[in-house]
This record gives sequence, C-alpha cells and structure tokens, in this order.
Amino acid sequence: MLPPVRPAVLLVDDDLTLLSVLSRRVARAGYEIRTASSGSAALKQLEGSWPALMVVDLMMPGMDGFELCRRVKQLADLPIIVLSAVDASEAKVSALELYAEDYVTKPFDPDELVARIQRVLRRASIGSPQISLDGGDVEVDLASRRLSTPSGTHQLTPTEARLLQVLAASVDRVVPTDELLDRVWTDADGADPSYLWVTVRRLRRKLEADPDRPRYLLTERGIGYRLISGTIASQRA
Amino acid sequence: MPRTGLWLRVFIGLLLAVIPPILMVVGALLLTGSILRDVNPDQVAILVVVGAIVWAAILAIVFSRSLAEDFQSLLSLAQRGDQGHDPELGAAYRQLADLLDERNRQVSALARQASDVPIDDEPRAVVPALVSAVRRVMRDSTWRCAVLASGNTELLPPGVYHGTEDDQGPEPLGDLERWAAVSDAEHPARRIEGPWGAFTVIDVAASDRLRAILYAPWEGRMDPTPAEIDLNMLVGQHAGTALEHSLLYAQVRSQADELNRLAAVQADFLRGVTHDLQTPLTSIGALATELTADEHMPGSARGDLESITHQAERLRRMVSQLLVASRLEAGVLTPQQEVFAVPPLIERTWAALRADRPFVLSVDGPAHLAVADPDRLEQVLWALLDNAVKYSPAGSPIGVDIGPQNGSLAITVRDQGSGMDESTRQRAFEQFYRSKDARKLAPDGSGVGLYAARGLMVAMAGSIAIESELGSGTTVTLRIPAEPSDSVGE
Repeated sequence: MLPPVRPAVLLVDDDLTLLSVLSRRVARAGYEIRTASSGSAALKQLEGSWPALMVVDLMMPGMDGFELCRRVKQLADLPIIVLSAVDASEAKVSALELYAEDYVTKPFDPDELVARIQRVLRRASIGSPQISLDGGDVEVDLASRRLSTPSGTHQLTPTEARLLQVLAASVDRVVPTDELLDRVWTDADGADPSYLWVTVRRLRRKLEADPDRPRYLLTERGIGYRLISGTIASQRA
Repeated sequence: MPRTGLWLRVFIGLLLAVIPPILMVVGALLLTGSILRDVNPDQVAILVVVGAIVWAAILAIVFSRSLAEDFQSLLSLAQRGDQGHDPELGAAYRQLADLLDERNRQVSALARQASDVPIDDEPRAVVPALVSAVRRVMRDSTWRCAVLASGNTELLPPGVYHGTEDDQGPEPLGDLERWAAVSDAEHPARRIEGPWGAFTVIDVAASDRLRAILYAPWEGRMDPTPAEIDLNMLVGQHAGTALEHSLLYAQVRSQADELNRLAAVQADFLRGVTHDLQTPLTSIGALATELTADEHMPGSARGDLESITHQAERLRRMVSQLLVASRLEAGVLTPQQEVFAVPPLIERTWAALRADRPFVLSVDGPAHLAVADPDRLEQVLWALLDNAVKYSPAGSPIGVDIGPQNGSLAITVRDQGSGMDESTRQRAFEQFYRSKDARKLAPDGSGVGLYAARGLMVAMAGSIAIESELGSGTTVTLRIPAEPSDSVGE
C-alpha cells in the first residue's frame, strides 16, 4: 500500500535557527518540508518541483520576500504565507496582500503558523478566488477581500471572506453549521455557533439590500447556511 | 507815492482825519466864548461836524488810491501764481512735483519690494534678492551688498553680494567694503569720498551679530538730498529687518530639522532593536516549546524550560508593545474587525501572566461578542493586567468585570494598588512617561504599555479611561464595539 501523499511546504528564511525549528514543527504537523535560505535558492528549488504552499520571510538580504512573492506569482498561483518582522512601511505589507494569502508577524508561536498553513491549504483546495452572484450584480474578490454590490463596495474581514469562500464552494447547497465552524475558524479561535450567527449578521449588512430579508445568504434553521446564486434561483423559479 | 507799509499808511490816514476836526472844535469853543457870543452854539457844532466829514472825505479819496494799488498787486500776484504765468516759478513747481512723484514711487516700490523679498529662503539667497529689490527701487543697477559679519558663516557667509540677475555668488570682501563700512559710520545713510572714489552707503543692519552695507558708486553725481537720505535710511531698515528675519527663520528651520532628525533616529533605533529581537525571540519560543514536548525530560529541567518559555513570552509581548508604538508613530496600524468572545481571551491572557494572585472575572448582562482585533485586544489586556499586578501589593486580588453598555462591551480591570495622583493619571497615556512611584515599584517598565493600549483602542473604534486615587487602587475601563450573540433571526 502506498503511503498517503503529504503536502509539501517550502520554508524560506535567512535565519537558519528559525528555519530548522520551524521545519521540525511543521513536519510534525504532517507536511513534507523543503527549505531555502534565500530568495534565489527558493526560485532554484521551484525549478525542480512545486510545493503546495510557500512560507516566506519578508526581510531577507539580496532578493527580499516581496520580490520573491512577485516572481513566484508571475509563474503560478502558489499559496504564500509571509512572515513579517517590523516594517515602517506597512503599505508594503498591504501590497503583499496582492501576493500573499496570509501573513504572520514576528515574533509568533509556531503553532499559530501551523494553524495558518492548514487554513490556507484548506481554502486553496476550495478553489476559485472570485465569486459572482446574480449574473454579476454581486461580486467578491477573495484575494483583496472586496465585495461589490449594486449599493457599493465593501471591505470584508478575513473571517467573512473565508465564510463566503466556503459557502460559495457549495453554492445553492446547505453547509452545516459544524462544517462552517470547522473550516472558517481554527481550533485556537474557540468558535461556537454564536460566532457564526454574529458573523453572518454582519456579512448580510454588506451583502444584502435588506439584511432582514436576505436574498443571497439564507439560514436553514437548525442545519446551517446556504449561499444562493441569484441566476440559478431565478432559473429554478 | 512811496510804497510804504500798508497798515502804517492806514494809521497815518486815520490820524490826519481825526486831528483837524478836533482842532476845529477847540477853535470854535474859543470863538464862541470871546468873539461870537451872539452866534448859536448849535450852528457852530453843525459847522464843525460838516467840516470834519469834508476833511475825512478828502483824505479818503487821497489814500484809497494807494490802498487799491496794494490790493491790486496782491491779486495780480495770486493770479500769476495760480496760472503759472511766471516761467521760472512754474518750472520750480514742476520740478518739486516730479521729485515728490519720484519719492512716492520709491517709497511704494520699497514697500512692495520689502514684502516680496523671500525671507523663508536661505539667507545666502535672500541677500541677492534684496540687492535686486534695492536696484529696482533706486532704478540703479550698480548697488551691491557687502556682508561683513553674519553671526553664522554657514547660513550667510561674509562677502560682496550682487543681484539675482547677475547670476554670481558672493565675492570676497575687499578694502573698499571695509572702508565703506566704517567711514562716517555715525550716519546710517551717507555719501563718502576716499581713495576708491565717491560712494553712497546705507547701513543694512548694525546689530552685534549682523553687519552689512548696501552701497553704490556716486562719482560725478549730485549729493543726496535730505529726502533721499531719509529714503536710503528707510531702505536700510527694511533690508536689515528682512535679513534678520531670514537668519532667524533659517535657524528655527535648522533646529526643527535637527529635532525631526533626532526623532527619526529614535524611531529607527526602536524599529531596528525590535526587528533584531523578533527573529531570535521566535526561535527561542519555538525551541522551548519543542523541548517541553520531550516526555523524557526530568522535572527540574522542565521547570527551568517553562521559565525560559514564560520569559521569552514576556519579552515577545514587550517587543510587540514597542512594535505597536512604532506603528502608531508611523500611522500605519490597521487592526482587523473580527467577531470573538472576550471572557476566554481574558482568561488566556491572565494565565499567560502567571501571576500568583486571586483573580475574579465576572460577566454580567446578555452575552455579547466583541467586534475587534483579538490579538490587539489581548495586547491591551496583557498591558493592563501586567500593570495591575506590578503596581499592587503581593496577594491582593485583581478583578475584571465585563458587561454590555450601549452597543459596546465595557471591560473593567480593578486593582487594590497604590493608585496614582491626578497629574500622573493625566499623563499616564504619554509615550515613555513613568511616574516616580512607577519607577520605584517596577524599575523594568518601558512606559509604552498604556500609550500603545490607547492607540490600539482608538484604532479599534473603542476607548480607554483611568480612574484612580493615591492609595485607593486603579480602575481602567475599556469600551469595545460588540454585538449581541443571541440567535435572533437565525
């Protein structure tokens, strides 16, 4: 019997101690580890094979993490988590949102990094970073977490964006509350159904023309939630 | 008739008119007494009066001729003055008017140029602008400015400055300028003559630190009139004021630049230190956690390792506070708006402090979830709980109350510590501020905790307030946006 395939994670950091510590911790969580101590070494590794995810330190001598992310994204849509140390130009970190799925500020707890890796890989497996409802009346760009509706554009929180992404992966089908809690929040968040109720309530204020009579994000009482693509709903009607 | 004085002639006329009638009356009285006893005195009086009137009429006719001549000549003079019939007088009037016009033009040009001289520029650029302005006022392109001393040779080096149109830097001072500056120096505006020829010189300023003159060759030209000297003095005063202002402005600016540079150095240092600490702290924390996972480790070593983990965690939190402070300074702090329960966060934070104290957490009212950045709120809570422990006696309890309040959650942290006086309370949120008592009770504090806490609370649309009195403990209240966590509508 073949062993199960473990997703590969490429860790890129110029600090060799941290690289070794993180390698051991992430490997313990069940991932195959590859390491590179510079941007150019990482690009060389990518010539051979692609990992499932890359963790990049922002501040590295030579090619910095920002440049590495830019070059990688030109080649393929590889999920990236950035490790950022303090940087006065937070604008740079904001710009990183274009390339990175998530970023962790140093100093961090390695368990936190593992939780983020799991979450990003789960989201990446869901697919499309774009959601379009009602023939394009409502659009969500998950990369920039922007929601466009006929009433205007709204910025989504990371949790709201994750919730929409999970619901959109099963559009027009009910997603049970437990599954939503499991896929949108990490264990460390300690989320219970009330987190979901309040997050849905807040999301409806951005998504729906009338949050009290939702059209897209419906409650299936006692079961979970359903995201309706308006076009399909009207076809069914 | 000789042209004696008008009023003298009037006086003599009146005298001549009055004396004969008086003589006549006296004569008549004598006659009535001795010769003409039979004659009626009334008739005599009438005769005398008539005689006096006739005499006065004769005199009036004679004198009015000469008075009329005088009035006529005055009238004629006035008419001539008015119509300028006299060519010499007219030319003088015109010259006077032209001079007044020129003086008015110069004074208004001076006022205009004085306001146009850019005092916020570098002083070395202001002087050529000043020379050009003087040239325009005087309509004379030979004016220059010699700066003999400025008090700051970097901002304004001594030398001979030309106008901006000459497009050349200052030339070294020569004997001519040194001589011009001291010759006849008691007059601020003067014309001097010497081995280098004749010059008009204006003292620009004569303060202790700034000495400068404006000067122009004056060979073969008329001496300046008193009015021109007055104008030159006015020019000198304006130029001196402009130059003094530009020097002051440059000094203030250079001091402000220096302060900004120092602030930037401080911020860079803070950033550098925190950045250098971030990576090793991550490694220490991760290594300690990994070692703790080793089941074969002896108990004593495990205790030491837990201390290492705890201290690394403490250091990590302090570094995070410094990070927040530097991000607040740079105005780039952008907390998330997530939904989360506050009580578990408080319990986790209290546990991380490992304080050996009684701790009471009470939650009142309907359940609410905070809408904020949980990591940032945890930072704030850690700072408040750490302060409560540091500034209260060993063994005294720390209490936290949570309850909804007008669409937000109020989180109150209470201690039974030393409290703070009013001035300390008011300054508690200042960056790096630490009161004397605080330094005594906790010498290792950074003075950043409450500063960062307030910045974070404001960034999360919340607030923070302190109530405290010396000796009666401190209560800090946080207000954070929240929503009811019921299932209404779900």
